[in-house]
Order: sequence, then C-alpha cells, then structure tokens
Amino acid sequence: MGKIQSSKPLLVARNVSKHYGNTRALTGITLSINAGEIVALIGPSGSGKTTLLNLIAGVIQPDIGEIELNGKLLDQSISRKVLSQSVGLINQQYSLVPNLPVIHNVLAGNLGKWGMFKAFLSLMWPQDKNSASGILSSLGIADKINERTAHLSGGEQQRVAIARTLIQAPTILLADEPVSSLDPFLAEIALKLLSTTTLSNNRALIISLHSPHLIKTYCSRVIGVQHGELGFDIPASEVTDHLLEQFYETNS
Amino acid sequence: MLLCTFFWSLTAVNWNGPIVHTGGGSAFITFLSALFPPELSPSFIYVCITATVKTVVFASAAMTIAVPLGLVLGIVASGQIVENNSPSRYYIIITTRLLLGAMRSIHELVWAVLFVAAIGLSPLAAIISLAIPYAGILGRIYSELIQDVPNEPIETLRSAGASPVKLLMYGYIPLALPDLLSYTFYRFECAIRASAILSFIGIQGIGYEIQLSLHDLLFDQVWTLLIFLVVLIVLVDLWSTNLRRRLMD
Repeated sequence: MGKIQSSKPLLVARNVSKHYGNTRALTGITLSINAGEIVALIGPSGSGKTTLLNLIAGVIQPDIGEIELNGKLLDQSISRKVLSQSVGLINQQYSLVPNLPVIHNVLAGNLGKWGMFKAFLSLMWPQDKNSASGILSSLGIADKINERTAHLSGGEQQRVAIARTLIQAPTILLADEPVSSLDPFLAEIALKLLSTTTLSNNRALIISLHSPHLIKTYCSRVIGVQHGELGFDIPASEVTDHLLEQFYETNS
Repeated sequence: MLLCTFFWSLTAVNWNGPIVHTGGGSAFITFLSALFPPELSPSFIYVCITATVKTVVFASAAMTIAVPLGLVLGIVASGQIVENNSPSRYYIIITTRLLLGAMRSIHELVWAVLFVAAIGLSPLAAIISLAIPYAGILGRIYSELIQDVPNEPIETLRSAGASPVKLLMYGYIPLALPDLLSYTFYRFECAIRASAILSFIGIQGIGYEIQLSLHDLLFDQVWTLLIFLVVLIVLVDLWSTNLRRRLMD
C-alpha cells in the first residue's frame, strides 16, 4: 500500500499578483503543494522567485489573489505563533544576529514555541541543545557552536541559517538559494538533510536552486518562473538538461 | 544663521576699552606662573588623592543607578515591549520620552542645589543629582539605538515566532549592544567630569578642593588639583578604550 496522502494541500495560491509601483513582480500565480513534495523553484534573477517565497512566508501580502496555508487564509489575522509553525523561510541574506554566538542564532528557531522565561534562560544556559548540535554536526560546523556568528565565513553562516529554520521545523520550509555559498560537497549534504527532514515528517519544501544535478537528485517537482509568470510546473522526472538550457537561454 | 549670530555677538563686546578688566592681566600671569612648580607636599598630595577617589566613587555610584534605570526606561521608550500595531504603543512611547526629557532637562547642578537643600551636603545628594539627569540622557540615547538596529534580523526573528519581548532579548539588545556599551563608557567619562564640577558647591571631591584653594589664592595647589583632574580623565579614557576593545573581542 502506498503512503496515505492527506487530501488537503499544505499550500494553495490562487491568482496571486504583486507589484511594486509600476513594476509587476508577479502575475497570476496559481499553484498547490501537498505534503511530501520537494519543489524546485527556478528562474533567472529578477524573475520573481524571491517575491513569491516572501508572499508564501507571509512577509508581504499579495495585491491580487490569495494564499492558503493548511486551508486557512494567509492574512494579517494569523497569529505569529501559528504562522511560524506553518511556514519558515531561509532568505538570501541569512539575517542572523552577528553578535550572538552560533548556538543562540540556531536556537532562535524555537522562539515561536518557547515561553518568555525559557527563551531568557536559554541565553545563559542553552536549552534543548542536543537537536541543535546534531544539525550543526551534520552540516559540518559543530566546532563553531559557541563562536560569535560574525566570525564565521559566508558558507558557515549560510549553514547556521539553514540550521535555525530546521529547528523552527515549519510544515512548509521555503529556501531562497540556500546553498549558494556552499561547495558542491556541502551543498549535497545540506540538500540531503533538508529533503530527509521534509520527507520523514511529511512536510513540504520549496527551494530555489540553479544546479540541474541537485534539482534532479532531490526534487520531485520543478516550477519555472519567468518575468513574474508561471513558465512551467512539471514533475522532476520530465525535466531534461535541454529543457533547462532552453529556459535559461530564452530568459537571459 | 549660526555664523550671523556669532558675528553679531562680537559687536556686543566693547572693543575700545580694555578686554581684560584692570588687574586681570597681572592676576592671569600670577596664576600661570604658579604652575612652576605646583604644590607637591605629601600632605597635600594626600588631599588630592582622597578628593580624586571621592570624585570617582560618586560618579561610579551615580552610573550604577543611572545605567539600569536608563536601560529600563530606554527599552520602554523605544516602544519595543508591545506589538507594532498595539493601540497603547503610542502612549507608552510619549509618556516615557516625556519623563526622560524632564529628567535630563534639569542640569545636575540644579538637581544638586535642590537635594542639598533637602538633605544637606551629603554624598547621597551628589549621587542622586548625577544619577537622575544621566538616566534621562542614557535612556533617550538607548531608546534611539534600539530603534535604529538593522531591520532584517528582526523580521527574520519575528517570522520565527518571536513576541516583542523575545525580539528584544534575541534581536534588539544583541544588535544594539556595541553602541550601547560605547555610549555608556563615554557617559561614564562625562560623569566623572560632572562629579568634579558638582563638588564645587560643597560636596567633597576635586571641585571642592579647587574651590577652597582658589579662595585662599593658593594657585599652585589649584594647579596640582587640575593636573590630577586631567590625569584622571586620561586614565579613565585609556581604561574604557581598553575595556571596550576586550569586550568587543
């Protein structure tokens, strides 16, 4: 018997559009994502991938259309706590707190779940340290756990940002070029960790990537965005190198 | 506009008459020559040392009150203890900023005159008179430093589920900390100088001794005290730079 798929999609976007002044960043985006899916989001720079990820994460609101998370409309009325458990985003700037040691930046992923007292206590005696050190260890930066985050290299900081979102453990994990500063070996390790976590917990992962190899190895579905519109939305098995070449060429 | 005001003020000086009042020129020279040599007797040096210690102690005690008080008020005044769209936020900010403004608009000398009238020439009067305006100054600057932190880490923490207080603990304070410390060290130096001035009105310290020696026209003693004051400020400056470098690591 196959895995029982839950009938309700984790994410639905209906005719979503977003513009900044006269520039239309996204137009008419409609898609739905189910549990267990690992979706690659591809497109040239400026095509609207980051805007789409920010919209799904609730960082910005669409001008037209709506987004539903777990069947519930994503708008200003959703509580911070519910939102942080439903969706989490690793953005391109990492947005870590440079002065804090790595461990606190990683454990900050728990701030939606911890009470005020526990959050305060953890600054002096890190709470629930094991899962954090486990993840850092898998990503190869276990030895940096008490270093001031500002002292880490770009690739190391990127892995800290990945670790933080893994600790947050949202149902839908969004990642905006999360392995851009990692060498191919480390990029595979990170992707493997993200995909294993997603599949074993029946969550969903939407990740913007450039590498055809990573896309074909880890993703089940590929969505191409060009000039703010949906170019294609196909299973990963149907993606060929030729298709990718054509897609990037026509958009450069 | 400032330049115009400056030039206008120059016209208020009576350039035709002597600029220095009669006898002033020779008094000035007497004062300068007392520097070579300054008063160096052991008993007086002892007086200088105790006066310097008292000045530093009063300043430190005042800062020990002013820093936590300023930090609490500064955090409240930044508005970051309630949600961005909370209705009470505006009132909280306005009330605390008014309070901080009132505290610092009255100069420490004026506070000192008030407290000395109330409780006499005691060290407590000096300490409180310094602590209140300094808490006001620190609180105002702290609240602005907290509000001026980069927005991105804050937004990321917010989307990780952090409430306003947790945002303060994991975001605002760590991000603002280098500037908070830097400004606090600067204010500590100011507090030492202010403490020296404050003691002019009779509370013990360097200023009090300077005032005593001036009245007795013992200018060489005044110079010794001034040298002590300068050395003190320089030492505090070096110490705080060193400490700041070690903390920033």
